[in-house]
Amino acid sequence: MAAGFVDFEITWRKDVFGGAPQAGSAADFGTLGINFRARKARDEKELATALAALSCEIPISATGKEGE
Amino acid sequence: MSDVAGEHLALDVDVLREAIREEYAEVASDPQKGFHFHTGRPLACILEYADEWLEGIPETSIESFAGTGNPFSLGLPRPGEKVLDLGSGAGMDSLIAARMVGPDGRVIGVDMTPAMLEKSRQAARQAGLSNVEFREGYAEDLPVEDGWADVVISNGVLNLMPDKAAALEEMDRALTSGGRLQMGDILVQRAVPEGAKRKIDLWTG
Repeated sequence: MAAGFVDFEITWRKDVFGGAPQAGSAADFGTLGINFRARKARDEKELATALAALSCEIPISATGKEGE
Repeated sequence: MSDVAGEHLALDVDVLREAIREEYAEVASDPQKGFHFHTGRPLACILEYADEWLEGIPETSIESFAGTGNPFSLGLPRPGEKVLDLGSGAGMDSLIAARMVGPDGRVIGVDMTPAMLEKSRQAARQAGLSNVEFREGYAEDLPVEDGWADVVISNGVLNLMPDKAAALEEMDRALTSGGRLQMGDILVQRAVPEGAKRKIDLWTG
């Protein structure tokens, strides 16, 4: 089974580690605190619609060869 | 829990969990010690928690708060709703949620650190909240029935899980259809080298 979430959104990001009492690795990786939300799809149809909207189509020429 | 992530990273999941448990047992027992993250009321201020949310929450719960975001900024739990708090720690977010959902709602907090569970249960008793309970368990194997939750909240916990896909599948299982996921966590802007992912002290620090 795979998780079936839709409407994913990061709503907020901020440096929440700066000035902490001990030095950590957060700054090395540009670590930020974030808030994010998503919603469990109501049904398979809603999930399929959301997944279809995520798919990318690569243009293919009339000869069927990529990149032409 | 699936070992896939642990195997992929050549990471001993049990060793990682024990290191995390030790770290957060210290946050429970000695919150003023000073960690590589902020804690307590000053952290709640950084994360933009409203003052009124903290009114009536026992200080023992607030002092060991160690989140990285603010799940309530994404929407407040409504009266009568069921809220699942993953990695509930000393219980601050669970208790805030318990007051928001009121007597007709319920909150379950799940944590793997006994010292935190004890602290959260004590805080719930002290706050007089009987609509919240704390269960020991892992996010990758949640002790909650299918479709129980209207809202899943979590704060600074998903980043500590080696098998994030398994944890998200469990959140999906625990949520009712259309249920909300409201998370505080972290985002890294620079890629973490594969070798670094195997260093336990980087996961906890």
